[in-house]
Amino acid sequence: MIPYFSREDVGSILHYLGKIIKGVGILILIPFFIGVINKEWVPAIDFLFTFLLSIFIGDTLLLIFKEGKEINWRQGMSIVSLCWIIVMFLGAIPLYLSGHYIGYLDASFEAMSALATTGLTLVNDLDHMAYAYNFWRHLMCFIGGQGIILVALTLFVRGGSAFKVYVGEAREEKIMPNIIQTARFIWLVSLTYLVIGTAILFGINLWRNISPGRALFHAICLFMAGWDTAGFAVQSQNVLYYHSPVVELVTAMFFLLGAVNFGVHYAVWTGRPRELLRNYELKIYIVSILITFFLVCTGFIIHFQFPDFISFFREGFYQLISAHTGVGYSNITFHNFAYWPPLAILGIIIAMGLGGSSTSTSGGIKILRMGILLKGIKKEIKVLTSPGATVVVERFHHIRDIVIEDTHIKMAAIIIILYITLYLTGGLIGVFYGYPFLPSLFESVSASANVGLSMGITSPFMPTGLKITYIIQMWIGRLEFLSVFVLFRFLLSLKSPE
Amino acid sequence: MKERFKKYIRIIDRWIIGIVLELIYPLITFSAAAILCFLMYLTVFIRR
Amino acid sequence: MKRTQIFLAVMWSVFSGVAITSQNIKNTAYITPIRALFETPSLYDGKEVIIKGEVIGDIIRDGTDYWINIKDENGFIGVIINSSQKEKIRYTGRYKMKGDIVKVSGVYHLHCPLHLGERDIHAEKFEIIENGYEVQEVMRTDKLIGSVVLGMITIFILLYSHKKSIHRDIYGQQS
Repeated sequence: MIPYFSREDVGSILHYLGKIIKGVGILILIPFFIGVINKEWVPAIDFLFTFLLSIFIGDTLLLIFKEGKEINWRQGMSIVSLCWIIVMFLGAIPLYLSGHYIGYLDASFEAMSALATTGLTLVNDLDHMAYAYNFWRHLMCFIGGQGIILVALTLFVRGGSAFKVYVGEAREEKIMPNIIQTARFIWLVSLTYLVIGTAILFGINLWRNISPGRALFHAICLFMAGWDTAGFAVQSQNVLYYHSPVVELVTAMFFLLGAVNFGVHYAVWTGRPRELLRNYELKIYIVSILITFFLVCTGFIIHFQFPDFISFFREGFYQLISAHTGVGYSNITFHNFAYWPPLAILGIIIAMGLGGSSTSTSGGIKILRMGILLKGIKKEIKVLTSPGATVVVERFHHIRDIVIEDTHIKMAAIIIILYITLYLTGGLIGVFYGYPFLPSLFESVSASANVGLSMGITSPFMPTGLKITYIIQMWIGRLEFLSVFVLFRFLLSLKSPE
Repeated sequence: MKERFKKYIRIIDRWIIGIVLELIYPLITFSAAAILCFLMYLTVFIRR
Repeated sequence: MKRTQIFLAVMWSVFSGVAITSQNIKNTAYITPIRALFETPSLYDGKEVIIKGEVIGDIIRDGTDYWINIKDENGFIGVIINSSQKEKIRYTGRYKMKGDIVKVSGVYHLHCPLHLGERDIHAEKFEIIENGYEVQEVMRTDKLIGSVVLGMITIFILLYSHKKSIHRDIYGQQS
């Protein structure tokens, strides 16, 4: 007997949603102040309006639904998946009011793209956008990349409820025994790198004669979207705008680190640097990067068209590393994919589909799952080839030594199959709308694995159905299915009587 | 007091070493990829 | 009679169409849309092109030269200019600012050998066609009124919930 959701569930879900909405409302004050500092009064009013609206909604919910008992798993999961949708709608309000989007749907697409750290964009005339709106786009990337819930955790939620919502947000590992400590550590890592990365990029920008204020703005935004593997940039041309191999190198360094498991960061920062060499996931990651890059190179070598080695490496590797870590920064325009050979594009699609490490800020299948699946296959082969009564044990090193059990393999396989289904479904819908197969698949994988590279399908003029499809893909891809499925079950049980 | 101070120094020390190592890590990855890329680039030359 | 009329009409439309298109070609032959440089690079790679567009963002230093980014209706490209050309630019496009509209002629490279494979134009002739200007913000009153009303409601709710919680603290939870 599967328990149905009751009225009590609705109460606690809405109570926590109220808290989270209020928390996001407080964060909206940051772009508000940026608007005020830069004397951008129109954006400031828009952010004030959104701030008041979220406080209003949050407080009303808190007033009606009192704090109940500690939440259970299904409530936690439902809270997570609902809150992403609601925060998307809230975050889209100032973007919509900015007038840079055709409609509210486009603004919602942009908000979900930022929150899910995808980086596909539907903005018009980004180059004349106010600093406040632009900062909000990038701040949403940072909030979403850290996890809306994680942000809320550090602000509001306490006790045993915390872990249940934390897990819903696609981060099953606790780095430390206590979930609040884990949240704080994730903040510590991100903020430390925020300072380092911003300082380096700020220095480069200053050296390249950009005015100090704008240099700082570019540095912060570029870092926030890069570290959280989102892939938004301040200008329409993305990283191409800077025309600088140095900027590309620095961003690539930080987004590669952003795609590393926070558990590894913890180990390395607390005096176990050997983890960098021993970690199974990182080993597989490097191998996977090299293999997919090999595909890209092979594709190019058949019809070689670059003048020298450096331009070949720069163009091929930057797109690849950007795809594999799930960032979506690009130093070419989407038109240039037209001369990319299909094999290279396929290499990029595979890299996007695989994604970064687990418990990092990147999306996609995640390397650890692939690793577990590979070990599982190895184990099965060993079982088949060894004499009857042998006990086969496979283990790998990930923070500590872990013996592979069948449940690990099962979970990894389920999620991998679900991801592949999601990729193909999106590709199918793209083809249904009349786009060629390869770009459709590329765009679909890019949306569901939260990458953000585009072959040109994503534009303000694409069909509405496809926009909605990509929003859903980004949402499901970011939350890794389970909490979304729990939400669907919840919604279905509301309709059917007990 | 002095003990406590030493403890903090040790924590910060590890922290900085960790960050430096992590910053070197991507560079090693990139170099590996660059070597791979260069080898493949050489094959183009040999073919021509 | 009727047939000749139709024939004449068809001929007229064909010729006028040709005339119009040839005129279009004549007008646009000099100025290449930036999008075309990316969509059909084989036509333009290594050749001299002329583009027109707004200077956006920043003027970025690269050694002794400078990068600017030029935007037309639906395309962007990086252009390399020298310091004397840089002096001509007064406004660059950003919020509350319309950038100078410039006309650039130079050689287009799909993979520039001098700039590590960048797609760029090395400006040879560089002139400003229209000067940029500052744009005033337009405040919309409905947004202002909406914010004020919402602010008042929010304050009311905050006060109400605060009062209720005090009430609860004194008299205990009521069912």
